[in-house]
Amino acid sequence: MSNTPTQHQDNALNNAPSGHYVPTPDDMDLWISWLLRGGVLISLAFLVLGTVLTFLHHPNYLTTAISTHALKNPTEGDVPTHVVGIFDMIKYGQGQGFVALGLLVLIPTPVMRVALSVVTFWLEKDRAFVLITAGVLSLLILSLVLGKAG
Amino acid sequence: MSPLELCGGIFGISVLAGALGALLGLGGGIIVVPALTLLFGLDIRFAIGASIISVIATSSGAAAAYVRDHMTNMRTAMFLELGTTVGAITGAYLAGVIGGRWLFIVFGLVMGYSAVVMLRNRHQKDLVVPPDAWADKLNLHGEYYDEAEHRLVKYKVTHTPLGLGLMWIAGVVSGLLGIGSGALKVPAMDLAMRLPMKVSSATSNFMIGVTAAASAGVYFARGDIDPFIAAPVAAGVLLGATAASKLLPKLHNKTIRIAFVLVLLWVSGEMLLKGVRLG
Repeated sequence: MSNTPTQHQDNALNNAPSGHYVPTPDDMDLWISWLLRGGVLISLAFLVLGTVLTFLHHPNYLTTAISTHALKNPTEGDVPTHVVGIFDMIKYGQGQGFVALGLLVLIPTPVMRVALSVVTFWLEKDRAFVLITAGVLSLLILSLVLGKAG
Repeated sequence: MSPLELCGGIFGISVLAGALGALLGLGGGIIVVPALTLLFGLDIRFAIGASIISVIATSSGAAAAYVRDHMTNMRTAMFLELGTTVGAITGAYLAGVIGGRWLFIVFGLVMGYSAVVMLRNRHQKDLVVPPDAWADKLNLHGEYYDEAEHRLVKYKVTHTPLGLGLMWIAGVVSGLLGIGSGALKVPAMDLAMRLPMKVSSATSNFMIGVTAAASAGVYFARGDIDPFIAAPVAAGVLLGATAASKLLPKLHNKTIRIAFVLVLLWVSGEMLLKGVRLG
């Protein structure tokens, strides 16, 4: 967590003249960094919890190879494809539901970072980059919508 | 093989894939897909679903450290992401119009050539790059503290419009072929825009995560992401990428470059082979 000397100088210069606190780009980098770490840890916790639950519910998974083939070739109903299905699985305490929730937390992390950048560039009053990041975010949403339609 | 052994084996491979992907700016699909299909006998459909998860996990696991250490040039990444996303959408529409065979051969050759030029540039240090009005106007230049050289490295970005165009091509190609997005982005940033090698790989690492996240919803809805397989992939890759991201500032640009060139040559060979076999 050590900052380089120049970063400390930047902070001092930015915050000293004005009476109220203005976040510097370095502060924002730190916030984004912590947010990313939080998302990753939550996701990891669900992934581990779900996998442990799965093995607890199916002790035969630990020793015999009987179920391996079925697990490698899941049928339609075994793989969750929508959010409601995931919460149903969690309600019944199924480990795979928790795993799917962990994946659902993980998947949007990079897009969230783009969304956060729109906010940070806005705070920095960087008009050009507010437009650029908002454009990227719209294109990502567009490709998501187009993908679902196709 | 019991399900526990399957899970453990996939986890182990994924730690390696995450570490390599985070250091070189690649998604880790290069390791995950062949390992899952050849070593563990999984269906290619679920292997590709798992590799999308692996790309996102590589990017997210490494991002916390790369943002904090200023290894990622966020402004350049965001600007170039415009080209990549438009390219990915273009590629999705061109699929079926353009045949895969020649694309595999052409881009296999492009990657092979890039690898050779990148290797030739391995001795260069801080470069004086041609001035670029776009990079000045958008303020894309950056600096990072290099723990290997124990100094603050200031660098200038150049050929911004060319970089944007190359990112569009990278987006189209990865949309069409489903591979090679990191393997095209890093050479574009290194050879055209002259970013330091470590910055190129960290910036590519961020960009591939964004693109993969946008397409992951489709794979999920299609039922291609099997949680039993994706869990050890995601967990392993996250751990590997997080560990490697702490290592990157300490490694020399030259080391990263040589490792990247080797992987790029391998990918190039694979693509050429695929192109020849498709015929």
